[in-house]
Amino acid sequence: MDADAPSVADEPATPRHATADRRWWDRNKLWLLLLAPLLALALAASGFRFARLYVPWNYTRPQVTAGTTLTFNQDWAYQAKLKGHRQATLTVVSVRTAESEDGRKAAPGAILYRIELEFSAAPDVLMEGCKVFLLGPDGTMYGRGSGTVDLPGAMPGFSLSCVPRDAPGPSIDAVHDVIKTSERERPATWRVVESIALPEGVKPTQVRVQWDPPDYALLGVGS
Amino acid sequence: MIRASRETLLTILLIVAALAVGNVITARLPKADEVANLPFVHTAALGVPVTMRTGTFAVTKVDASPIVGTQLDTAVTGGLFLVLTVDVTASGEPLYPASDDLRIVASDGREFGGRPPVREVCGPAQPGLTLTCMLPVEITPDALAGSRLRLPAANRDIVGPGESEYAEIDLGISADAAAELAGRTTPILLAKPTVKGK
Repeated sequence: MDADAPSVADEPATPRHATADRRWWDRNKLWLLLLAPLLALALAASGFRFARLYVPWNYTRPQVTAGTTLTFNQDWAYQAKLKGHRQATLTVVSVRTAESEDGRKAAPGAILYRIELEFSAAPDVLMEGCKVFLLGPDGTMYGRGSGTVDLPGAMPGFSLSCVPRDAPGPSIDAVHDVIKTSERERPATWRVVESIALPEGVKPTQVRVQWDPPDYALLGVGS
Repeated sequence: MIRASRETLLTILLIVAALAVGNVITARLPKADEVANLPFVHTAALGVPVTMRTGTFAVTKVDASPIVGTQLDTAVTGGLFLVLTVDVTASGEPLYPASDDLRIVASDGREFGGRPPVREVCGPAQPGLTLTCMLPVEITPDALAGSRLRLPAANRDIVGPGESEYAEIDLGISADAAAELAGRTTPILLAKPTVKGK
C-alpha cells in the first residue's frame, strides 16, 4: 500500500490506530492470558527463599506480664501434619540463688539460680519440649546446660522440660507423626525446677518460657 | 510497504537500543552475589580476640597429631589433625560455635573442615562466661604453612543462605612451624569444654 494513497489520507487517524491496537490485543490474546499463570509460576518457582519470611522461624511474638503469672495461648503445628492449641497458666514461683542443683554447681565466675515454675493446663494439652531462659537487665538470654560444673560423682538426671517426669502427658511420636499419651494422666497443676548459671554481677529480671515459634512468654522474677 | 518497513526498522532499533541500555545498566550495577552475599569478614591473628555478631572468639593454641581422641573414642588419620583451642564468649544468647562449618583455608586456597570423626561438642556458651573448646580439623600436612581459620559467626540455618559473617584468623604457622607440627605424633586427648569464667 502506498503511503500517499488518497483513500488512507481521507480516513480519520483515530479509527486506524484503534483498529491496529485491537488487532494487537487480538493477536496476542493467548499470550496475555498465559502471562498471569506464567508470572504466578515464576514467583512460585523462585519462592522457596521466602519460606524464611513466612514460616514462623524465629521467636517474634512475646506474651508479656510484669507479674509472675501469665495465661499463655498459642496455636502450634508439627510439620503441617499435626495441629493443636496450647493454653496454659504459667507462674514463676521463685527465682533464687542455689549452691547446686541436679548434680551441678556454678562454674567459676558464675552464680547458679534455681527457678521454680508452676504450670496449669488441661491434661490433653501438649506441654513437652519447652525451653526456659533467664533474662538479664539488658535482655541477654541465659540458658541451661552452660556455665555449670558437674559435681564429682554426681549423675545429673535427664529431665523433661516443663512437664512432670512420671506423667508428662501427650507428646509427639516423631517416627509415626502421631500424638501419644503418657501412661499416667498429667495432673492439672504441677511444678518443675530448672537451674541456670549467670555471670557474677548479673541479676535476672525476667523468665522466658517458649515452645514452638513465634510465641514466647515473658514473666517477672518476683520479689 | 515502506511505512511498514520503517516501523519494523524503528522497532528493531528501539529493541536494540533498549537491550544496549539494559546491558550497560546491568554491567555497571553490582551483581546480587556481590552485594547481598558480600561476606562480612573480621581478620585477626592467633591469640587475638575477634568480636562478631554472636560473640567474641579467640584461637589461643594450635596443636597437631595424627591421633585424637575423647574419653569414648579415638580417630587416626593418614594426614594430620590440627587441634585448635578456642575461647568463646557468647553475646546476647547462648551459642554453639560453628564447629562443623569452620574451615582451615590453606595458602593455595584449599579448604579443610566438616564434622570431625571424634569431637567434644562445644557449647552452649553462656553469654558473659568464656568457654574453652578444643576443635579438631583433619588436614594434609602440606597445607599447614600460612593457613588461616575461617570461623563463621553462627551455624548455617536449615533454611536460607550460609552465614556471611566470619572471622579470618591467621594461625601464624610458618614453614618451619608447619614442619614441626607435621612431625608431632603424641596423641591428643580432646578436653571437654570448660568454663573459664568471666
